[in-house]
Amino acid sequence: MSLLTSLARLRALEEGIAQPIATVRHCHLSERPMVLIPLRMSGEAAAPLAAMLGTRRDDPRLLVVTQPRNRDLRFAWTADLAAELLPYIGSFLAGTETVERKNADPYERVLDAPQILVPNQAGIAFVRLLGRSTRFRRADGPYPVPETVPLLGRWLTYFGERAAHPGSSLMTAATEELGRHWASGQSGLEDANLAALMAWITTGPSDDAEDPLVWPPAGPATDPGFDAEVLATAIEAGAAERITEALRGQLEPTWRLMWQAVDLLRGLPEGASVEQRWEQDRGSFSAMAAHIAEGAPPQARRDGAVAAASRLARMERAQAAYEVQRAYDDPLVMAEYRLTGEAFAGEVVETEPEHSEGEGRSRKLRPLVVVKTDDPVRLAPGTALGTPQRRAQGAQLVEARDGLVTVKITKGMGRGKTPAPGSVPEVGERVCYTSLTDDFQGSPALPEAEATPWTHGGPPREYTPSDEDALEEWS
Amino acid sequence: MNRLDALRGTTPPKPHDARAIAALAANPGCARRALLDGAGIDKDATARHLGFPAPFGQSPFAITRGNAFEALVKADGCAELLRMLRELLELPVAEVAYHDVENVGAHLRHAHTRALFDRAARDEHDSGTIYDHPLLGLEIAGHVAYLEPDVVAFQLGGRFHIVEIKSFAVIDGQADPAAVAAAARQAAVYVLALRRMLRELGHDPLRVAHDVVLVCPENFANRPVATLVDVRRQLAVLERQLSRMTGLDRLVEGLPEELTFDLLPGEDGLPTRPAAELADALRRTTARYAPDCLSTCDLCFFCRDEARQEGACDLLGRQVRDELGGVASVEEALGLADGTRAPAEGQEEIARLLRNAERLRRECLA
Amino acid sequence: MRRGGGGDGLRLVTVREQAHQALTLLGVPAQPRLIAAVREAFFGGGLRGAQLTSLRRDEERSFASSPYGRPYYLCAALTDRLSPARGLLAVSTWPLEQRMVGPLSPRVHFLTCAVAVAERMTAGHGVDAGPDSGAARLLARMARNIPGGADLDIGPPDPARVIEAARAELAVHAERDTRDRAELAGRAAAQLGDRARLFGAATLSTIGDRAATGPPAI
Repeated sequence: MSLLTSLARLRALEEGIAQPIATVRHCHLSERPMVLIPLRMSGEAAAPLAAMLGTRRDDPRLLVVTQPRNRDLRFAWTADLAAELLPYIGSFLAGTETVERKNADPYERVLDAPQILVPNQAGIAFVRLLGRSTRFRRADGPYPVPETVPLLGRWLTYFGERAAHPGSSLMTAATEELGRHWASGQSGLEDANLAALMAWITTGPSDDAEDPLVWPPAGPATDPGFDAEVLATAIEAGAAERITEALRGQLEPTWRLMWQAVDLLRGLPEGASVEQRWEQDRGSFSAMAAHIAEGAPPQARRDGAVAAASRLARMERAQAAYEVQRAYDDPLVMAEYRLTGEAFAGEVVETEPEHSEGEGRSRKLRPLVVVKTDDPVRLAPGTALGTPQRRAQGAQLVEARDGLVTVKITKGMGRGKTPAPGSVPEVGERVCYTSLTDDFQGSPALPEAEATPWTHGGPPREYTPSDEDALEEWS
Repeated sequence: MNRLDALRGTTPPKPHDARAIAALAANPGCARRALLDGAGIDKDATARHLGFPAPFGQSPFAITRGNAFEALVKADGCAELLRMLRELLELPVAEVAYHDVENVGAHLRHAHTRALFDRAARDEHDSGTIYDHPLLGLEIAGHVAYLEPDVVAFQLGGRFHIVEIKSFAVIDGQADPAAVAAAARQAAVYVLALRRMLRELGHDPLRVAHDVVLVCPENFANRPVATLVDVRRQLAVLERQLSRMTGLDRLVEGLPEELTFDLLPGEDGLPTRPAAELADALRRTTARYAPDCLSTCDLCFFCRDEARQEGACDLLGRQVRDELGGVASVEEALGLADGTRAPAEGQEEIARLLRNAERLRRECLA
Repeated sequence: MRRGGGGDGLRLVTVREQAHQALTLLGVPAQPRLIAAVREAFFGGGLRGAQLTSLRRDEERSFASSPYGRPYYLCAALTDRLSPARGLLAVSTWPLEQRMVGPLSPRVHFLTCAVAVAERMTAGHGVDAGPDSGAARLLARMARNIPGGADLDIGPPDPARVIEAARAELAVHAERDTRDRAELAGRAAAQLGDRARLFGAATLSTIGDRAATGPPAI
């Protein structure tokens, strides 16, 4: 958290309402998101109890395990979940575009991808575990399950893992996205409560949000009081109808909150880089779909050493790119870097558009721009700079003194003797320059999996799910 | 320690369990908590009487599941546990002697445990291997808290091992880190209590291993799996906190003579003390509220409410507090940001940053 | 043994009779959950462990009102303190030493039960011993907790192998366990009346009390 966000939290506390910390929306929001609120049986790792889900706010589907200790009913529940989710996922596979690639075959990318919205991080973790507990099951053999169950398990595993990818919007938690755009007047810990965070953003803080009788928890954990007083007696009585209605009562308030959260996020204009990240999501989703279509085995229980290292490197790059893109897309995020002296903004007071360097054929246009700023500039002369106003350009800091910063444009000026119109900022224009740039070092040189050094366990055996995986007890 | 008893007054003391003792180390800087725990005050009842009941509860399903898993681990003469100890710690096949300490009536269990462990530590030839539900004692600020580890295993290289049975799952070799951390803190309390018992009996306390055996269900089945967890760090924190509790005298000295947190229970055991009066008494002690308290302390809602009324930056969490570098109140921080308040000595830098942050926010949101 | 064993007679067999059959098969004191598992494996299901929890108290009441009025009672196993061992059921007609629980006895009981279950499987007795049968599952669960009893959990356990492995470990414990139990049985015979001999004495002393006068007697 930055000082800017801390200040926003203080202000929220004083004014009794959450404060914006973003001016644009930094996540993709689907036209047809799948809202999914799962509930888990208390005391169990991944035993489902219920879920409310659907793509339309006026049409929630409720799935309930009416006897959570019955393993057959749990698999039947998972099959029901598959019957909802698999057609939704499949509906995005029809429309594709061909993407040409350098040094690789072209591939098909879906035009749009599914998006699963869950209330909180714990919901994401539960989806991942549910995927882990079902993807190895088999439709044949000693403990057969419907064939949609392992398929769903692979998709849930995929969505769960992709959710950890910075900037991905394929599956995302409402509290996380809201917290990226608004600062409440409570701690980050308390922000994990969807009802509490929503109250801060919409009407102001309310202790009701912590009262499970007014706002049941948004899952996957249920309220212990509800378990003891309602659920336990209904299960004991074997009253399926009572159980179903009780769980509906627990889920409906969160269902409404989820769609309100969607409205809130939709109210923000989309950030400029969101589409690019969604394109990556579409590519990733397409690759997963192709993987399954080719009959590849389910995801391994654990990554090998090389796979783990390359995943980590990928995530780090994605994280860095996500941070830079958000700053370029959103002046309020860029302000954090202005505060720490890694960026500055101000008015252009002087320009030398035809300034050039070199002689004869190697003569190049290097326009100079002087910016007057109130920001504390902590960048050394020579630092490479970028600017959100002209993303294709590169610049260099020449000098910073007394609130005046001289910048030299070094990239993206073309070969002409005079600058193209609009390529050099005019006097009076407001501009922002920053040392943050989106060009990162390529991926680290990692060996192929077959060349994994012995220090990292040697080459991994190719993963083939064993009978043991399929027979894993599921009590 | 009479002053501490006076703080509790006529309310019966609340015995500490391992979880409560482990939580003592969670917020060592909180004087209010140290005093209440030191005096053996029932914080849960206090919070309820104040109108701020603690947000904790355990689902009956989780309790049933926990009990069933423990029963499974111990079934058939601890067959599963012996398998794991043989695999994990190379327990010799001959070592199977089992003592069900819970067979002994509750009032004698502690003495029985002492005698059993004394005999084991003396290396008498037929000392046991597995002790089921022994009862240990640990002195907390003058009161003995009785603690009941799931199992103590002996005869692993002549050392005692605490065995902690938990029903959270280990999936593909990984468990919820928060759950593991809590289990380690709790097990450290047992290690400490057993070490102190051995020392009192004249044995080397280090014969209690700092590696505890954590037994959890593996993946999605009920099958137990054991892991060794090193609790040295948790032990160090715990010992530091307990030694601080013995320094409660100093905290008590600063309090008004007549101060008490007595609930004045009536004949039915229900508190008769006016809640507002009790709240006033508690406010005479200094709390150190942090959002983490919401998961560890029964009084958290009361202290959070107090922090709200005071407009304390603590409400927003340690990160914000650190970011503000010592500016403790919301009003003060915002005053510095708005420029309506002159920075005190030492606040110049944070004031400059806050003013800048305020200017940037206004500019961007204009 | 065969009376009421599976089939049509099942419904006529009372809970105590069902427990008695399972205990007779095992030959050692056992916990309700094991008794229920043995019933399911060899006599057909229907018995739940929970049905047995109050059985011992009922039996004791019956014995108190008319001692030895029944051919057998489901009674307690006795600890080294001659108190009833938690959660164990035994049969009154067994010799006293068979109902005693010394420190090694829980393990000996477990191994003995594993042998009994495996023998019953090899003997057939109309048992469905397919890999997914209750008997095979019960034996598999036992086998993996006996050194050398199972191959890394793969495939159904081999009863002969389980018997061999269990007997090998039994040989390690048997002598001391037998001695311990004989000694306890002697004490029980000398110190306890009829009822306490079957259902256990109230707990009174700790070994700490006795430690003052010499080493504990176990």
